[in-house]
Amino acid sequence: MSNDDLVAVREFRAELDEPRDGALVKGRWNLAGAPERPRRKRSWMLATAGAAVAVAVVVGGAATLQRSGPQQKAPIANPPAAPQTSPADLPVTRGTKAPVNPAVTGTAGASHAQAVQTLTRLAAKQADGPLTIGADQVLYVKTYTLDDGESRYIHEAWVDVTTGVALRIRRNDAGPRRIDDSLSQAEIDQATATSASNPSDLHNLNAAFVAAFPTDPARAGALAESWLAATRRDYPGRNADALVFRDLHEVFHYVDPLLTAAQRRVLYLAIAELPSVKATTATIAGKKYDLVCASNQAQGTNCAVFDPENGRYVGDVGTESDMVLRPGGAVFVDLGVQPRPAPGPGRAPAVKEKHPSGSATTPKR
Amino acid sequence: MDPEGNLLIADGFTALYDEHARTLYRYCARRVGPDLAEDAVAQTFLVAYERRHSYAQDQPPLPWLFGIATNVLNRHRRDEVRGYRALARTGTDPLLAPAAQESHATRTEERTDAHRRSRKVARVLAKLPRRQRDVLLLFAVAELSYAEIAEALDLPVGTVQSALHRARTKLRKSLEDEDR
Repeated sequence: MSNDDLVAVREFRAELDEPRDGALVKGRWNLAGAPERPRRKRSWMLATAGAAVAVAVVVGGAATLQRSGPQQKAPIANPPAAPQTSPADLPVTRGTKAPVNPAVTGTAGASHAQAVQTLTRLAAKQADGPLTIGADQVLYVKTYTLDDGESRYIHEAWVDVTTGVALRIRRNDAGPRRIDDSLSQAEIDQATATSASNPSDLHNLNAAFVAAFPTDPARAGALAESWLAATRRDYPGRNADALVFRDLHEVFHYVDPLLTAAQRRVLYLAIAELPSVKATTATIAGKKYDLVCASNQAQGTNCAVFDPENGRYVGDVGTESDMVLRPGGAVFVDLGVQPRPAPGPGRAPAVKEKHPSGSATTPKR
Repeated sequence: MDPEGNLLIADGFTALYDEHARTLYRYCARRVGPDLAEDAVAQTFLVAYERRHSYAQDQPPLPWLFGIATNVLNRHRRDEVRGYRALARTGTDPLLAPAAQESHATRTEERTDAHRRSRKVARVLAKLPRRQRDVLLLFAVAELSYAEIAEALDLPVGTVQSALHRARTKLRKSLEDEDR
């Protein structure tokens, strides 16, 4: 059997093999437990007019959440504050839920009993309806680190809620890298077909997944068991509920805002049915949060962060196995509604390229 | 050593980092680019340190570290796939810095086949299911064996073989289509 395919993969992006000078210093520095570098003076980053536009969008989305009652799915008559600029011009700004470099304290003693108690309490708090999104609108999800400096990370996704496909992704890191990419119409068509032809599940978070989400709290156990059964089938012998919890990361980001209060209640109660899920609390910038966490035996601990006041998901964080929140690493999420982004440039004819000799026939190797 | 007999970071784990960070970086950078790769490698070793008690000291550490790195990269899978799609669509790799892009472009003018293959590989990687992509890249780029991939991803060896077979079949078909 020819290994040309493996050779092609080994040659793929080989230009990236060599790290830049100092690229690996950060990791070693972190590992060696060097003292904290001095942090910039704490400040709210939303100070520019451009930022105000972003806030308007996010707050508009939040206002929509407040206005929409449970079970309401129809587009609202007055969409949330539309930006004055096109989506392409939406400035990259910090999020709205916490200041930069906040003071952080975590609480030890996470337990499953506390998870059941916490998630039941959070479920009971659910009152906001789904974020209503019109035909020409998409779900806008901004994910951002709370820390400044090298770890700064702002990720934005414009998600078609029918297919669950991110039509546009923009990422701004502290470094020089900027990515802003929109799917072409051909790619959107392909993704739409793929979404429609595959069953709705934790890996295909389309409108059908949302529509089929149960509303009866009595079905929470069955819902959790269905997730676990699918994961056990795909990953035999592994810690299924930790893997389910990992997959819920995307549910929190891209499905949770679309659920009715009743559906979200079931979601939270179903998470409480996952045996290895534990909960504790943490304080970020003086505000108390609930942390619901799960550990994957060999691969780390992930926690979802909830606001106990309204029971809503606000972000996530990786912790050590004690599930105690420590400074750095917290990632928060802002939600909103945006106009549907225009498709990106079409796919170039990549398969049959004109040979330099002038022949239109691709030479055989 | 600490009172429990564990290697302290300063006297043990940094040596592990020095030995393997570059290898892990290559794997991560090819998937998500240099910036995220730096963070992914740092995160991988922090998780590894936290989970050092679960690591069998008599086993080679690389499969374990690649497993953690793959899990860390999972958080960036949308960006990863987006990068493949962009390369396949435009022929320009968004992960390459302008200087490298220029160098890459110069070279690909001389080696059109390589350029075409690169776009083809990107297109296939963008379409592969997550597990098949993980297995293919751990096999081809990280150069792990079936058993090591099985250990890294906590999968049965048969599942690894099956996933790799499927991924390679798709890749070969795509490359053969190109050559016709």
